[in-house]
Amino acid sequence: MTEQPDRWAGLRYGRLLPIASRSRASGRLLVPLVGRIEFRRDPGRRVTACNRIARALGVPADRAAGVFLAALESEVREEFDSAWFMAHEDRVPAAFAGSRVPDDLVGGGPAILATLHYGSPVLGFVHLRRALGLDLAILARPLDASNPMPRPKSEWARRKVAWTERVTGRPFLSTDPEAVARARAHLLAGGRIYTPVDVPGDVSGRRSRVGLLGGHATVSGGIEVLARLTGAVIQPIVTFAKGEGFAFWFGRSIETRAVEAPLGAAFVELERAIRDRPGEWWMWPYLDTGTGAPGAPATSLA
Amino acid sequence: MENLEKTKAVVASILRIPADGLSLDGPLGESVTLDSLSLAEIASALDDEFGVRLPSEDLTATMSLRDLAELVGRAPRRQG
Repeated sequence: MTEQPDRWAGLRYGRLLPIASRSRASGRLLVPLVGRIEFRRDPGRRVTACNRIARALGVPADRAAGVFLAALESEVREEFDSAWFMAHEDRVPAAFAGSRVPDDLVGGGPAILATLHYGSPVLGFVHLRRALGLDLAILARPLDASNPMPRPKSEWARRKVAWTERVTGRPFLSTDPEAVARARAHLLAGGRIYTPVDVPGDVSGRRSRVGLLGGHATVSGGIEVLARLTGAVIQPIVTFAKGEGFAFWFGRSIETRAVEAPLGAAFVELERAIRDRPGEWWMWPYLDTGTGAPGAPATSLA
Repeated sequence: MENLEKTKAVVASILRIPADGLSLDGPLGESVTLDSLSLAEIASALDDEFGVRLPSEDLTATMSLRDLAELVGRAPRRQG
């Protein structure tokens, strides 16, 4: 990591984030500014992302640039909103007022809620677990060397994880073998797991080739294996910004034992969420549908 | 002893390695490469083989095959 990106990360997470935690209005005002700085800061990433957006959505270059800027703003807004709600945790339920949850998710059996880095995934988990009381545990990549990020961002992420664990009463399940075994037990006991759709990432023998945005990507088949071992359904879900609050989007749930390629079916559903709100998905720079050949390294998309 | 041999066969089958390559007393994670899903798959296969429900909170990559077989022996029988 060069000195310059760390200085910017220090400003973003050390100075601007605390402002957003004190005043939501200030945070919302800062979102476009931070988004635009991110947009200009890394020309290589911008060109890559815009080319992929243009190809995937079939839009001209200026529209693709607008989508990428919106996606960067979405990620900033997630952080600033999280910082504010971490300081005002009693306000989370009101932010989800009117958001609907399918009856069979509340009353049904084991399910893997497969999500994306899109909108506000952690606040979505907090609301589902805390306000709706779902027996929901979260499975996510650990904040370690396998998940590199600048130090100020990693310190912020650790604070967010600690807060999430406290308010939900559920420690994050990591992706090590012991934690995934516990995730299996949780599902067998009738619980639900909330996880990025392509976690865990190290299962080289269990990758799946899925259709995505007009191409193919090779992704971890972890949740498909976990669903088959437990009989859990896969429920695609994203949380998106709506006005001053948030709402859920649910795709069709996938009965793992009744579908030949459940992970592919989950991506079909989640692609609809991406196409509906392309500016809410943060992973455009990493979308490499050229890696779809069998044996290619897994793409991290969630 | 029968549990141990069957446990060894199940683990070898899940990990797709010859049973001879598995140490009975060394930590499982040292003699083979375990990925994120390996323990969950081993637990599932042992549950099916022995008709039990292994307590997943006790499963670790540092267990030996002998520990695993003992865990199977102590595990509650599966209902239904």
